Amino acid sequence: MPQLTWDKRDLTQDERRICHHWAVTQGNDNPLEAYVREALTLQGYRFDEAKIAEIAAQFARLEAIARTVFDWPLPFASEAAPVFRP
Amino acid sequence: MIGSAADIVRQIGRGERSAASVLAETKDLIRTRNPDLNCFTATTFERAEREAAAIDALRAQGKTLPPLAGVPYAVKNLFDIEGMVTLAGAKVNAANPPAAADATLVARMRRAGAVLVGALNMEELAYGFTTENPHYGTTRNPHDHSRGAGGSSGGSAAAVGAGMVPITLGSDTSGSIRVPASLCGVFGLKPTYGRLSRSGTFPFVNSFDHVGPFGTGVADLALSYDAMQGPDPKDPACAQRAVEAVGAAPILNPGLRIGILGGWFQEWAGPAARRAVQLVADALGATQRCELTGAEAARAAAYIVTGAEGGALHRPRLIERYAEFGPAARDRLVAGSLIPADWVVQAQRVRQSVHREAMELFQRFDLLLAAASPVVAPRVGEETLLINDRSIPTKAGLGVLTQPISCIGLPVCTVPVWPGGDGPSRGQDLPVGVQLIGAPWREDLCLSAGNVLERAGVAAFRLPYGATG
Repeated sequence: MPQLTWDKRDLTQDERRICHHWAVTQGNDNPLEAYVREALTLQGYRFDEAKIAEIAAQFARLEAIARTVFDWPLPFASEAAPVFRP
Repeated sequence: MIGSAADIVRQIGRGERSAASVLAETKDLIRTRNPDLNCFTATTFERAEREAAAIDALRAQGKTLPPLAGVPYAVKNLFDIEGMVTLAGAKVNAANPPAAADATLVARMRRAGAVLVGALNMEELAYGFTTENPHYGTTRNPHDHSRGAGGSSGGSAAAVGAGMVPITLGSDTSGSIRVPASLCGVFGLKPTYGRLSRSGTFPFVNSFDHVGPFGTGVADLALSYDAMQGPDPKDPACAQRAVEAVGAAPILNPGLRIGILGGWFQEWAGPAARRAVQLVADALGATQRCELTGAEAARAAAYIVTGAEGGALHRPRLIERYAEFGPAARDRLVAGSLIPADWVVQAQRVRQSVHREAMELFQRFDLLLAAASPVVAPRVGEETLLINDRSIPTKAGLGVLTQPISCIGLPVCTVPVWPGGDGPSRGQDLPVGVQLIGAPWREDLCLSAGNVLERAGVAAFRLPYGATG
């Protein structure tokens, strides 16, 4: 797989997260916006270009926060509880 | 002021006041104080008259009064009230049919003798910490009307803070009880995830949604908490636990081990918040510092799950009726609905991991302390907070100290502290709340510590400057 960029930052270390976006984002200068554009269409939203840009900006904030989640060290087999019990 | 719930119950029980007279005073207070603050989106005075009359009839017949007999209260407008539309702060809900029945907690409060006087303003769909609602207006801080009440349960906190009612109910997904309690100078209880039934409340994020009371003191919280406990098959997250009543004045075990959360909780607490925590630590004899290293990751995990679940919940209506959502909520919800599944799975794994770390911390400590908001109430419309030379958006940043705790479902009693120094002038200091954080199901310890602080005068409910009874 060629080197990918995500919002102009090298994210090759995060392959788990972006590999399934590969088909959507390849060849695009702004893969994040490309992902948002495709996902909006798949979900059934219809927005103009200005609105898509605003939503992409919101999504970029979420993506930045998601980095913290992926940076947290976890054993490979650690489980996510679908029903949380405190 | 109408008085605390505990006082009202005592006075009605002795025949010193009637439920009808307490209600009449409450209605006057709401009529005079609400226009400046915008706490109430609706009143339920006709229903309240019936409920108060029933209490007075019981007393006239010499029957035993229920534990909240004649206490006026109000609920965040995401709780179902029979015959009323449940708004959840959203215009998009305004044309929904009226609720067919009360929410479980409203029904339990009614059975306990409490008198419902209205529904309270909130952040649209509970997504934010300011209660600057684009459809129903901004709720203002009772201690300084140029400042906000916090959110998302801003109306609930401000109504108690202004002395209009002694008890209100709110919800807390990421801090929505603790943040407004902190900014409005009232007591708040976010119980353990699953302790109180959410049935009949408008959902936001099922993984994190909690409900709980605000009050003028620990006794008010305890009375209402005890009245609302118990399993409820209508809420799948509600625990099958018997009622574990704490009583009106829970006593603190003197040997309690109390840790002061440092790290993330110190870095994101401004000067007033740090002073408040220190005052509480001194009063409780707490000297040991400790750290929840996963706090930042837990906050991030909460963000991701919130975005995904909130977005998924509203996606069908966002597609059809986007323009009816407020500008602060809609794009965040749309973006959240696009979150890939692996982000959510990873966030839930992180949540489990940080929960494990917290449980290890509770091997060494019985209670943990942290500020409930990083700063005193910001001014209405202030878009960014400056905390220790770092800026953060207000609508999300006010929850920076609460979100890691609700992510792992721990019970918290928030107590109001008046650290001085940041208020408009001497005698008008603004409050900051301190979180008393317990291990799961130990609400009793949180409330006990709050009781000690209240008796020591370190945590206190104060009427707004210039307000009188």
